[in-house]
Amino acid sequence: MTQNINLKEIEKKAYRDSQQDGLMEVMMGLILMTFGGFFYSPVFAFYILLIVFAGRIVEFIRRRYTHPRIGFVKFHKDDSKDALTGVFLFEVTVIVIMFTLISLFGNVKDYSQWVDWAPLFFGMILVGPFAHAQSRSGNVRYTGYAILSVILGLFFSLTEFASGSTGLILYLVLMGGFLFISGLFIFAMFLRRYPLATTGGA
Amino acid sequence: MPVSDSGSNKELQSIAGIDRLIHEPARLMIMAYLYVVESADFLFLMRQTGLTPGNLSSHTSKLEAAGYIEIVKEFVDRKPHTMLRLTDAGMGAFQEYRERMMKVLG
Repeated sequence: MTQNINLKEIEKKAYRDSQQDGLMEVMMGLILMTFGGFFYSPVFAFYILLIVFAGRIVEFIRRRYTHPRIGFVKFHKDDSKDALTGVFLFEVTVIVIMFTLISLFGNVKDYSQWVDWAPLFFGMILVGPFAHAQSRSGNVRYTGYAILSVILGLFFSLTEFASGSTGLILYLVLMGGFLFISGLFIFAMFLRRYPLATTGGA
Repeated sequence: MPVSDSGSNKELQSIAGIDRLIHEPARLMIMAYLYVVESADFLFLMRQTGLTPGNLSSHTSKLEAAGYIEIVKEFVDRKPHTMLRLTDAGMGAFQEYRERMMKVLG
């Protein structure tokens, strides 16, 4: 049993170390900010492009800055498949819960109620990826992001605004901005902590 | 001799069958890291295990010679890049090593 636990810990550490550059936060923050900031703008197409190419952009930056400093690791595909299924099931559960709550305490057909509760809905949706990252890495900062995401979502859902979608836009821009700035800070610390190795990848 | 004694003797004797190549601490670390991931490069293993480049190179060469790991050398952006992964034989050997150790140590 002890051997099993240790291997799990080794895997967690490898995952944690491979994600220590903060670039996932930067990209996630950028996606949320763009979604909120450009929702009613013609530049919204940029958002679609950002989502499609997000993985490749992060990979490109990692090839230039992360891998030469801490190396490269590839994880088993089965692990990520199981985890993604878990995240997907969680998201479906959140949608069902939100639908049930609005059905019980409001009017499902009233579009404005969906818009009012959208920040909390997004806040709970974001818990999925953060919980996944936390369980794979054991890093508590993801729990912090998940808690902040729900609290901000609840705050902007309960606060009344002149326009219905203002709460959602403010939530996305604030949460995204927080993740983006945190990610940039973590990335700057990472570059400082790991100067380019002279040994290369030999 | 009681039956239980002969049983525990058998378990103790299985220590002799432990793979000495994997049993060495540095190589055990390398094998364990490669077991939990699909592949990793030389620098990542060096950072994770805390071994020096010379030490890591010497141990990985031994594991490669035994057929436990596969080493692929390539050039990325005109720089040498070494990827390492556990072979099927290495995976089996590591699993067997774990089972034996668990049997012996409980």
